[in-house]
Amino acid sequence: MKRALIPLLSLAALALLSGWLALSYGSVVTPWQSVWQALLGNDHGLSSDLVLQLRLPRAINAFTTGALLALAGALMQVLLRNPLADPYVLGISGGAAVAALGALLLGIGGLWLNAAAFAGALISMLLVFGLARGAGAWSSTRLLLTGVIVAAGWGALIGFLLTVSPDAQLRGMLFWLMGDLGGAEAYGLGIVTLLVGLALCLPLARNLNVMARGELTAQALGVPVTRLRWQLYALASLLTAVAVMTAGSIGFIGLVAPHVLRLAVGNDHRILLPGAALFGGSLLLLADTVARTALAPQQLPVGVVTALLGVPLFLYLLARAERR
Amino acid sequence: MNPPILETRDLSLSIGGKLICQNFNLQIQAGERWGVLGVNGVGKTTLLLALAGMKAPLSGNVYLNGQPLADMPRRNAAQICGVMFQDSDDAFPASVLETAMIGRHPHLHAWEWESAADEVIARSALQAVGLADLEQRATHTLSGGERRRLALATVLTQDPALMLLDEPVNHLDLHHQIDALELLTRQVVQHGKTMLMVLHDVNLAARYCDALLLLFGDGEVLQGSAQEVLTLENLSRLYGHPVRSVETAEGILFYPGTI
Repeated sequence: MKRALIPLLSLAALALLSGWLALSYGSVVTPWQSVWQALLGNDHGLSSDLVLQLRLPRAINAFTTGALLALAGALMQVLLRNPLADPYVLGISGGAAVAALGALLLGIGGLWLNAAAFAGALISMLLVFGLARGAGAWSSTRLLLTGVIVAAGWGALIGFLLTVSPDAQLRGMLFWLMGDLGGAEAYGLGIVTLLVGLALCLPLARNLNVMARGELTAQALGVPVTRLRWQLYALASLLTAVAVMTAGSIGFIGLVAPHVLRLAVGNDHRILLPGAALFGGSLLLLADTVARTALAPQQLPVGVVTALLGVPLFLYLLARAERR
Repeated sequence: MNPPILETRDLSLSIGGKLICQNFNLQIQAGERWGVLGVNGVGKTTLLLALAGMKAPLSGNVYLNGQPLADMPRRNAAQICGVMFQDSDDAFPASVLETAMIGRHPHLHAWEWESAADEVIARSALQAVGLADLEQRATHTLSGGERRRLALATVLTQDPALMLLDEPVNHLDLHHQIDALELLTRQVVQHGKTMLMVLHDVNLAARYCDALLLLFGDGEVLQGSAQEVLTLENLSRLYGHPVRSVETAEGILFYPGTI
């Protein structure tokens, strides 16, 4: 229990630091005193509006999205017993993207766009679930293959939709595909999903430790493996669906955040799961701050920043792991 | 009288359409050492899984301490019965001590963390199999034999009344084979444990098992005390190869004859 304290407190400090940076930096730099006064509600000027109405909602969205993706990634890695699994590997983001692009093509925007993305994610999840269950025999490999093939199908449909779309809509579509935290106002759902998700998966954390040792071993040690697998699948999928709905598909957070933590604090999921949520949230918040400020006033899609940071980081970790 | 710690009633079991046993009745009493012998692919591992309640039989039931195993929550079963598998398969790197500690899982509640007492149990199990010096090593750097000993230590850390062991001495060199089997025998004699193990070496089975199951395939199973069933005729038929024996100062030794 005690050994969880230091890593989790450090990660919480990192989250606070990222939050402060996100609220202070943008096209205009706000000094920390003004940020503090705005948060306390003592300041009603222009800089308070900037912090509370523009930066704060976006920061909350970025943090919850990153946390949801990292948590979902950590769960998927155990479910598929594959350290390279990420939240999108089973085609959930593909289904969401097809539905969202379809909605954009029809000129639907705002909350309905989010609803379409969520519905697409759910349809994809149920499709993979149904197909992988099919003949009754169930294995991680079968689920992975089914998911990857369904994802490939969605990829083809995305290409098709982009080809037939008029030029006017293409830019919006590309932004959606690369991940965009700018358009999301409703952040209540993300926070609630994150808290519920954590509350549901933390009691399972030691089961996940055992599951990582192989399914037979887990079963012999009293883990109800079949039930746990479906719990993991449903939970990881729903977390991903809410993340994709909030911000489009944002790459690498779900893969890199759990991975960095696995290397730094080990594979005890009682520490890893809350840690991944904190770390993933912080990473995306930092990436989004960079996306907003690097070429200000021009904004980059945050997915571009996470990928640009994520690719070299991941390659470095991979090389390091092979040398060990 | 207490019910047998492990019992099967009318158990029929198959793998890949081949019958392993048919209407098989077995009673294992606490404090007994059982061995399972048979050729490759005859279904020894599948039988072990069925006895652990991890493979559904065609018909019949398995009882653990008189309770039907199929109705027992897995966690409760894991507090009584531990299984050592042929090979382990870690998805993520782990240390030797962490791996042994996994054995405490069925004894802890969902929110409970391993206590200092749990750590003492795991360390003494590692000590018993001679891995105490390697407790911080990553499991993927261990040799095949060290991995087997770690798997044994994990079962000892689980500390079940009944141990089902699938080839516990596979990959072990001579002195570690004897060390492991002596260790298991001490568990039975001194701590009242019970064990059933799949073995390939007839001579080790003769020396370390009180009773044996011979799986002939096609559903035929022979059970009895080691002296009873270890005849040249049974063994030759079991392995499909003439088996001979020689008397030594330390008992009968079996060896494969030349054709």
